[in-house]
Amino acid sequence: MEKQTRFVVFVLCVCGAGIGIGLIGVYFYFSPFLDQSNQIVHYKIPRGFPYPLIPVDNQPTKNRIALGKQLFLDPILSKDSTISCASCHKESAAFADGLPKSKGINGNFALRNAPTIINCAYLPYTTWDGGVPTLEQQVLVPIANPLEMGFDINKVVERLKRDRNYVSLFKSAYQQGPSVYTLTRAIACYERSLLSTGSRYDRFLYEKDTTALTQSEKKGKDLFFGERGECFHCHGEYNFTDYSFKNNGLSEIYADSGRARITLSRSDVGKFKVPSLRNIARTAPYMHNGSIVTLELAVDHYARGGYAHPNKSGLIKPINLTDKEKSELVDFLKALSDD
Amino acid sequence: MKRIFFSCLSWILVTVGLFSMAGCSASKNNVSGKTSALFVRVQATVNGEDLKYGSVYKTSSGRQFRISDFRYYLTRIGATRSDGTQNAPFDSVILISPDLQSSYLRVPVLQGAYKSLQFTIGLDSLKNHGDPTVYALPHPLAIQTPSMHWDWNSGYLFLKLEGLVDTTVQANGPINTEYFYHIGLDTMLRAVDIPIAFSVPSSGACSLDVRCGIDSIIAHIDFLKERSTHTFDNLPLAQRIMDRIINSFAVVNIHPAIQ
Repeated sequence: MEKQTRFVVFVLCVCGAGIGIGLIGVYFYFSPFLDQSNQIVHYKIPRGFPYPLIPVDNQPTKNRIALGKQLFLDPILSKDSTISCASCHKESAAFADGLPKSKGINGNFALRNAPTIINCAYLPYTTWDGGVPTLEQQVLVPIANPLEMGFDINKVVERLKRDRNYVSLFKSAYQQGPSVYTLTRAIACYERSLLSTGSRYDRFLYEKDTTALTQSEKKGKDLFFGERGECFHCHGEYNFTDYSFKNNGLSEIYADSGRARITLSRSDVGKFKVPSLRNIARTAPYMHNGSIVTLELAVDHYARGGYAHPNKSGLIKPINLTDKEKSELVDFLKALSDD
Repeated sequence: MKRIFFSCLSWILVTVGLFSMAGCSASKNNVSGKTSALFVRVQATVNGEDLKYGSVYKTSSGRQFRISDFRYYLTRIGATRSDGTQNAPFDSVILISPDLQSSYLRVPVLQGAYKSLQFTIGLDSLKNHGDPTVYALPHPLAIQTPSMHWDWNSGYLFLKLEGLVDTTVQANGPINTEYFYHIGLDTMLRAVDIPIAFSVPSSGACSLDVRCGIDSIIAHIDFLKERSTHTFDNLPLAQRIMDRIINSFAVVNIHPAIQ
């Protein structure tokens, strides 16, 4: 009897072990399929926005976005390890930095104002003069610029290769180690995930919530979209920009030739990309050189019609706006901030 | 056993590949269709001597200068046969840099008699505006130091010439003022055609030593007034340099069978 019991216990143990091993095998076999970290995710698109075009070789996954965010925040990208992407694109400042020109390494200042990168997934080009065609290639710009990060991207890659944690993260995200290719893709992948979350104006527009805007903001909206203000011609559509290059009469003489630096055309001198106005109240100072410090002064600039310049847009001309109307326009612009 | 099998298979494949590349297939009786190799070496020279970085040179007017960097993209190497037909240009990108100047570049060509050598300085529009981040070193189009890519402008520098020069009016001072010429843009692509008779034999190969005389470029630069161009900021100077470079190349030696 004792023998029989022993035998039964033995058989049960063998069966239990077999089942256990089988279950472990099943887990390991299916775990890659259960792990969602490398599955393509869909960005949460703001209301009224189309789905952005995303490069085939850089579709977003959780791992890629997480790696890109870690790199974005890491000063490892700069020569003296003091400047990260987030130094000039702070989340707390709607991914701008509140400075006319951002601080780089060795106390240098960048050539131009750091714009917000929210909704950069929609940019048909990057930088103020449109010289760089993709977000992936844009990653090269601040790293190489001696006034910003002042470094060699190949040396950044060497640093990353020496970091076991990064090597592991890169392999998880891109199935290969750190390289110029994977580094630029990871950061771009994260940047594309920075999308508007919706503003009071969006609630007014899409939810028909008439209380979302004050009376003053509604009047400002009418000016913005009306033929008196004419703001919408350049700052229209879902992202409040038509992505064109315009000379807005900021100056009679331009120290920075803007778009002409790329095209070499005199007719492009002083033209810069039309920026998005979403979150504009959080991204002062304004213009490519950060020379206009408040929204009120920006509205004043346009109301005066700007300075004379042969390339100035025909849309920039004096508008007779009362102080109250200017104030209403500013109020409307403030309603474009994400909640 | 498996290893032996795969190693034998590899040898067979390699042998077949080599035979087909060398045009030794028994079925190919057309002599003009056989491929061989042309080896091209490009050497930068100053006043007839091989360029040495740091050496002191003189312009024709006696002004002293040094060269610290000279590199450019050489693409689409081809040759025109004696009957006027052109060998399909070798579609590859070579960055002629200090490291490569004394190396021979292998160009597959058809055997036969030739009357000229062609290549271009710079990159075609497609390559020029391609994404440099997709290349890894040592690919010539990869991001590298010294940089050959304008990261802020989606394009490559086709040619870079840098150094120091004496800028005193009497040309008798120290060689301590920087000059640099960084030239890019699609419109700066230049085709070079060097008339030279040579033949690529059915067996063996032909090697050409090409000289790039930097002095013939510098002779058309006024060091007192023209010490820099990023192309964009001094287009006429950039154009002049690229126009001059066309005539700065010459074949100085033909070796019948150096491989």
